[in-house]
Amino acid sequence: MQSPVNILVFNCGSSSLTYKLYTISGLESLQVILSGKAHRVGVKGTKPSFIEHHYNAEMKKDTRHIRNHREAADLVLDFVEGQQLSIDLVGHRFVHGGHHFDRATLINERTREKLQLCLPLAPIHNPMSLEVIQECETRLPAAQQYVTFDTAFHSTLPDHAYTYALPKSIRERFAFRKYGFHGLSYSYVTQAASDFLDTPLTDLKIIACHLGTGGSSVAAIKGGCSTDTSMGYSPLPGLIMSTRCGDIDPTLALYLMAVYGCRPEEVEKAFNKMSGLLGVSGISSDIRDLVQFLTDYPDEGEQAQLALNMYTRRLKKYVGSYVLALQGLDLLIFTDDIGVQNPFIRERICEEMEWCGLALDREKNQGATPDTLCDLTHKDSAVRVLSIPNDEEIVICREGVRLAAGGNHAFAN
Amino acid sequence: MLLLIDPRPTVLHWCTVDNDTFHPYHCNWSDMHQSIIDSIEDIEQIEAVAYTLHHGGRTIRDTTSRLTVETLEELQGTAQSFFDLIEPTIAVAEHWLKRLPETSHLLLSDTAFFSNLPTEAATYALPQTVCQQGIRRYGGYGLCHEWIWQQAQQLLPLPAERIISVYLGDHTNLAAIRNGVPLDTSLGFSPVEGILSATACGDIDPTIIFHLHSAGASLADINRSLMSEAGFTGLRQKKCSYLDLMRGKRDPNLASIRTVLHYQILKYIGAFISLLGGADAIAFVSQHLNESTSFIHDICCQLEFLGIRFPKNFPQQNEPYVTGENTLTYIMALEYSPWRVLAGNVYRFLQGGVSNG
Repeated sequence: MQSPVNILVFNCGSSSLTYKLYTISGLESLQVILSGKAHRVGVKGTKPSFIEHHYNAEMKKDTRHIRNHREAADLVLDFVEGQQLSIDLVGHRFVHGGHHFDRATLINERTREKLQLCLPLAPIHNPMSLEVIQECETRLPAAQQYVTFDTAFHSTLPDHAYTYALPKSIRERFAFRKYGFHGLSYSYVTQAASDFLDTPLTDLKIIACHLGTGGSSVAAIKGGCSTDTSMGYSPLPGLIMSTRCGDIDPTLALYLMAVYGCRPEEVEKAFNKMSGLLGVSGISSDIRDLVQFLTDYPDEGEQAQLALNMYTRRLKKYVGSYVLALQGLDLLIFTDDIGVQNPFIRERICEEMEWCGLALDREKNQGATPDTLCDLTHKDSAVRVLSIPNDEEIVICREGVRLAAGGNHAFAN
Repeated sequence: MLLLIDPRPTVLHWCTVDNDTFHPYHCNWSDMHQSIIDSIEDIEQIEAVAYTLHHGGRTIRDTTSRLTVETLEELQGTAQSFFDLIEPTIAVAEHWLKRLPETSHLLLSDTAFFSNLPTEAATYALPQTVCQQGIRRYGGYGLCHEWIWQQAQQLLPLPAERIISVYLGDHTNLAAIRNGVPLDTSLGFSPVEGILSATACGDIDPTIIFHLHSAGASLADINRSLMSEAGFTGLRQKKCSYLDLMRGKRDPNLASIRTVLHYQILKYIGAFISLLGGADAIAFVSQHLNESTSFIHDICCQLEFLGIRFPKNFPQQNEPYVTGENTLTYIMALEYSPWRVLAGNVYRFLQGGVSNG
């Protein structure tokens, strides 16, 4: 690879678009020269959306209505162009590669077709990522684009964890199985924790909670390999999320169609976009809004409180189930925006967890800063508790470096 | 004499109880009333008729209650939602209420125990307009879990506040119980949610349903696939029951299905320990306890790292079993006899006039 190379990395969240521009002269010297994030993209909340850019130690914030991810990408490309910076490679995150992709890949005619096939697999995320890819192809025709997949990290799930108990003919015809998501995040935080603890991943039993402003999941990771995770074939099941219902009785979908005559697309939209924290609270899909609402209107917050209780309860159940699945626990990680910014959620999850040797240090937890790795472990706890800010972009960037160098390696673990 | 009737969609089960002697019967729906009459020497001897109700919806909130014509009218309203589970009970009860108007008729509800689940456990994270249509977690096997709680209080050497009850069978399911009140259940709105059963899929990604529908499957097709052709049967690709699973020790296909069942049970136990902040006892019950012993033993082996101790030969026979000392959590293994439990509820109700909730 000729140096220096500039790699622009886009990371589509369901309600955010993060970007980073790296300049690279080899794997060892990788530097962020520009970064930013569009917040509340397409969110119907009580606060407006905005985009912030960080460049030369300065921050520029632009508050405006950002209707969708294409518009957010446009704002990013405008800003990058304004700084007179060249772009050689553009990396993207695609949440669901299904059985079409098991590793990162350069985008060409053939992979573009396969990406189209993946759209229905993650009806919230994949179309957004493709919008951003298309916008970049239009505006940066000379740059090579590549895509990484969130599902790849979970390719190590054992049969008994990924198999749905459906008739074999159906499972095989549609490739129905648990795929799991947030793999880039899990890849990053487990490696960061291993480095921090100076313990190899092979020696660790980890539960990692990726709590995002849009989607959330939790994973059980043993020896660096994912052994179970809360999302499934799609990013719908598992934890209660901002607008997704997470685990529900599957017959409810049938019931709403058969008894109430709802159209399937209405039910699918209700489960994905009108449920979760938004559906229960009736106020907002953003947990920060709910906390604020409870402070401002403590007497009217019954539904907001219920939404928060349900959110933490579901996560607490998953943590418990994975302690048994892993047959013990060395490390509990909280990551992504909600995970690092909300001490009260971490405290609720870690309450009454002495049964598995876990205790949180309340002071450390309250004092934790969202932008650095923080050790929240109580001195008497056998299990370490860490809050780790996520950096999926660096994982995407490293994949780009490998792809540009001709390698086809997917993940380090 | 008691007449206990368990009406299920395709088969009718009933049992006569006379001085602690149980005579169970079953027949097809077509000849049910005559078959029941034929099984009873003197119909005038019947002191009470009790019917199990597998889904009480929002209407029935007591495990044992008196059944009247009015109750049946209320149930008719609920039956629209849970037709398959409620209609058989209504049909049988209507007949016997007319036939034996002077006798006590009781309803034994399998969901009533869970009618006071905490709101955060009962509520689905769906739009609240949807939840207001009666969509909530109802649970099931409440008669069984309530009985397990009572057994734990009698058999354990200490008062047990936090119990995890595990019913093992064609429809394996668990409950978390604190101070006699259910805190959670693995079953949901319908009995499909939770652990895979003999023919139903258990927890799956609901997106699968939308994909099947858009690929041309009708709602009836999908319903059949998920409820009647899935679970053990779907994985084995031929009819498979809990007993088949427990007996087929050498069949690798059955072993892999047992692994899935074992894993799902273990995860629910972990989830419920987490909710309860630890457990005072974990109670396994089965109608096939003898066949389940090595399966229970294997699950307990995976609880050892939590400081749960049990003898290596545990459990060995059909007697109630409680682990000994030096354990953080007691393990219980009990033979479950549904007719005995139903009869117990009926006798208590008739003597005290109250439901044991």
